[in-house]
Order: sequence, then C-alpha cells, then structure tokens
Amino acid sequence: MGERDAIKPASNASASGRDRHSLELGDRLGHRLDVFGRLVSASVREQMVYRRSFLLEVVGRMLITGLELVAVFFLFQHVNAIGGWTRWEVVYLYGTASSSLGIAELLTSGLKEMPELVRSGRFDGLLLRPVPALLQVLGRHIKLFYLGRTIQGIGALVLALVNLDVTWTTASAAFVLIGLVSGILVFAALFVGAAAQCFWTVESTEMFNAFTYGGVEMAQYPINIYRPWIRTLFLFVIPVGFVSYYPALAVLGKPDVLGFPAFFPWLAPFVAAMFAGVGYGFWRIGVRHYESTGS
Amino acid sequence: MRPIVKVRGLTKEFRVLGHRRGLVGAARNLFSNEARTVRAVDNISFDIKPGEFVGYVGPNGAGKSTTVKSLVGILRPTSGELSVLGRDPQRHRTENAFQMGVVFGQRTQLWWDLPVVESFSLLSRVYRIAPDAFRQRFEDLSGRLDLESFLDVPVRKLSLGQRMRCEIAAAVLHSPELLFLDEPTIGLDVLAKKEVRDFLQQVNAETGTTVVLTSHDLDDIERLCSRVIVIDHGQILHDGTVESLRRIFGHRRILSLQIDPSSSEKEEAVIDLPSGVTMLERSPEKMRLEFDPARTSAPELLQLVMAKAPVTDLHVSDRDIEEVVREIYSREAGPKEER
Repeated sequence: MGERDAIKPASNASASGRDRHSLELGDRLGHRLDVFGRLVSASVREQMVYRRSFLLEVVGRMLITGLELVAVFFLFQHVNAIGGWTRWEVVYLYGTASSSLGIAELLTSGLKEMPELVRSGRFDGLLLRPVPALLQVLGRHIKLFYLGRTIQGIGALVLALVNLDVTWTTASAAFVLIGLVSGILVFAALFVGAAAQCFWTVESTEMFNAFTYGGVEMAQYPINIYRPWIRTLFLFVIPVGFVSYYPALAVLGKPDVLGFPAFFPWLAPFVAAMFAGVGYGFWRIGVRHYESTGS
Repeated sequence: MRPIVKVRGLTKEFRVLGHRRGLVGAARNLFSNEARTVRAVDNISFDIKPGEFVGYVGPNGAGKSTTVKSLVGILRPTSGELSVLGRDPQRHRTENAFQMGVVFGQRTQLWWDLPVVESFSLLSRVYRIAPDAFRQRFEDLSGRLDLESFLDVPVRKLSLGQRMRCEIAAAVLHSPELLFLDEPTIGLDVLAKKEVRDFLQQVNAETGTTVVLTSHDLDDIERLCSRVIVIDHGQILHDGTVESLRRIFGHRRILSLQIDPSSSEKEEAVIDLPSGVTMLERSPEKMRLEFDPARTSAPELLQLVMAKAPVTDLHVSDRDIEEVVREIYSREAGPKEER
C-alpha cells in the first residue's frame, strides 16, 4: 500500500496533503492559534493606522461605561449596604462583571461582521479554509475600542481590592481569576450563541442584549436582592449571576445568604464551561442550518 | 483512473419560506410549516477524472452553484452520494480544503481590507506553506498573473480584473489538486479574460490540476474545456466534448442592427431572408437576426438588409449559453413526449 503510493506519479501533492490532515491534535491547535494570532495582528495594525481616533474611541468607551460605576458610588451616598454588601464589595462585584464583559466583548467583537458576511456570501469562503470559521471571524474583525470597558472594569476591580480588607490566600487569589475567566466564558458564549441567529435571519434582534448588557447591570449587585425568578434565571439558566456572585463570596469571605452548599464557588468554572458549550452548540446548529439552506 | 469527483444521484431541495418581518416573524420563520419545496438539483450523476478541464454550464438558477456548493462541502445534499478527492466533501471539508481551491466569481476569498500581499502571507499560514516554498510560489504566481503593481493595495480598492487575478492566485497558492471556478471571467475586459484563460490553461496542463469551471461565456468553455456538462432545471442535458455540444446546436451567430427610423419611407420594409436565417427581433429602429455562418456570411446578410433599411450601426455576436441551453432543452423535451 505504502509502496504503491510512493510509485503513483501525481501523488506528490496528495501525499503531503495526507500528511497535513493526519495532524496531531496539539499540532492542529498550534496551527489554529498561529492563524488566529496573525488575524488579530492584522486587525490591530489596520486600526492603528488611525491612532488618534482609536484612542478617542477607547477613552470614550471608558467614560461611558464608567458611568455605571459612578451610579454605584452615587447609590452608596444614600445607603450603607445593599443586601448586606458594602460599597467596596459591590464595586468588586461590578469590577469583575464589567471586566469579564469587556474582555468577552473584545474577543467576540468580530461577530458584529456576521450579518454582512452571511449576506454577501463571504462566509462561504471562510468555510472553505482549513481553519474553523468562528476563529476566522473572531480574529479578523477584532474591534479594539472594546478595550475601553476592559480597562475601566479592571480599574474598578483593582480599586475595590485596594480598599477592601481581603485575607489573601491561594484560594482567594484563585477565585479572583476564576470569577473573571468564568465571566468571560459566559458572556462570550452569549455573544457567540446570539450571533448564530444570523444564519436564520439577517434582521438583527436585540433580544440577547437583555442578557449581556442587562446581565452586567444585574451582576453588579448581589444576587440575593432580586426576586426569586430573576435569581434562578441568572444563576442557573443564563449563569451571569452565578459566575460573578459565588467566586466573589469566596474572595470576600462572605456567607451565602441563599443557603446553597459551600462548594458552590468551585462550581463556577464548570457552570461557565457548560454554558460555553451551549453557546458554541448554537453556533454549530446555525452553521449546519446554513449548510442545508445555502442562504 | 479513480475519479477525483464522483456524483451519484445528487438531489438538493430547498424549502422556500414565506418571509415574515420583525422578531416575531423571524421566530415564526424558524418553525414555519408553510414552506414550498423547490428542487434545485434533480438526481444528477457524473464522474470527473483527474486532470480533466470540465465546463459546467447552464442558465441562472439551473442548479450550477448548488452542485458546486455541494461538491466543496458547504451545502448538504438532500439525497445522493458524493465523493470528492476520495472523501465525503461535507464531513471532510477541512481535509479537502488543503487539496482544493475555490473561486466564487463575485465574492472575494481574500481579506477585503488587507493589502494583497498580506492576504497571501496570511493564506500561506492558513494552508501551512513553509516560508521558503511560499516565497517561491508567490513570486511565480504574481509574475504569471501580473500582480506586482498592486501588491500593496487593499483588496477592496482593486479593479475587478485585478481582483479576479488575485482570487485565482489565492485559490492555487497551496497547489490544489482540484480547482473550482465560478464565473472567473465575468465582467472582465478582453485582455484580462485572455490572461485568466492562459493562466488556467497552464495550471491544468503543467500540474495536471483538475478544473471545474462554471461560466456563462461560451468562449471560456470553447477555449478551455475538454468536456462540457450542460444543466438546466436541475438536470443534466448534455455531457460530452465541446465538439459534440457544437454538433448539437450548430455554430450560429447573431447580427444586431440599428436602423434610422426617421428616414424610412415605408414602414417595415419586407426583407426576403435566405433559409436558415431567423428574425429574432424587429422594430422600426432595431433588428436581430440569427444565422449560420457556414451557410450565410455576415456581409451577405448585411447587404440584403441594407438594400431595404438604412442601417446606422451593427454588431455580430455568438449566441450566449442561455439561448443554446434553451434550444437543447426544447429538443430534449420533444422526443421525451413522443416516447
């Protein structure tokens, strides 16, 4: 078999092709990361051509989203605590949610191009390259002005940690990261799942914004202050609240007034991963639908 | 030789939904049962051998792009079996992508906002081409397709001819074994057309690349293809050499004439047309005649008309593929009814 392949005259390209697609998993991942990195770099260089307007956009976005933080401080002019949480504790919650959303927005900003890519048929071309289409969309069209919220959110987070009296252990430090990463996953999954709708309709709907921008507004306050059905929705259905509230409890050493078991904070990354799986599932279903309609 | 493309009983049906507007309408569209089924491709079968240069022609909506999209793996057939490069094209789309090149005429495969050269260097990473091999290959391609003068221009600023040359270079950068081209010469001027055709001929002859070309342009087909598959209403009407296609429809041309309507004394002068010449269109200012150049020459025909009507301008052209296909279709339909 191998010998016959070697003799076959035109097998030059096909033999190397066969080598190429029997790649090891790690190699394939490396290839994808390489392509993703290069696409991102192309996006960044393109936006850097207009450096001044880029800076203005970032600062503008920082200020606009910063108003949310101002609102928190304003509220605490009148009250000492919300649902048993002090001012800096709430700022910590807000900072986690806002920087998670900021990073997720940044990473998925390329999805804003999806309606246009589908309408123009250029999405077909992405499917024909040996790199996942989602990766190409995300990498190629990253919009850097979303850095505005990221910077603002991390600023709020650091400010809160400086003003809070946190007993630092390996676990509490880990939960700062767990909260951030889980939040990024959940918000990113929402954006990816929402973008999948353009495989069915080019009309954009604002439904999903209720869960992303609504979610960050919700997640900046302790979840125990909300009505039970809203609590359930944002803890277990769209776990924006779960991944901000529980890791924050662990960082701040606060008791869970909702009475769930003590291991709940540890569940955050798994809940986030599961939700990310659901978001990606929607995307896959969308692509399959696209493949059957060819629209 | 094992076929590189194998199609057996390919059928593709689309559900066409009544389009509703708004969020509720969009949601209802998802679940709607009020769909009409349209069969775009109806039980077609053919094989393509390695090294063939196949023209896949038919009028708009005949099922051409549905077939091509199924073959490249971005459209799931309703039924039938497909094997491309020895694999199921949809399930093994990524593997096939390494050995396949695609040009979709109007839709760019390149990164719209990036300079041409950057698009190519990105593609070299996508297709895992080693830097040295890439440099050599790209130099060769940009020489042959004359890309040097606009390598630093963003793709969106290129002229159609420049862009099409880039698209083709991009599609063959990774030296694919199989190349799909959808209308690669549409909208190009004569010179650009020639460049594109010459290049495709080279690719096919030098490296044995199998090429499948869809085109409206009979000239493309005649100059490039060793075999033509004609499709209409989702069915194959003809599959054979270009010569056999020409035998079927003959070689007929069209003479279009502009006539000065003001100077005609009598309206609609009667012209005795020789046999084999058909009047396609007639109005006081315009006339279109179809003729067989082997039987009647164009000057002869022109003289006949000029004796009766003041001709101001003229144009001779080949019949386009749509008319040819229409004719084949009506011929095919005839005997079927008799049977």
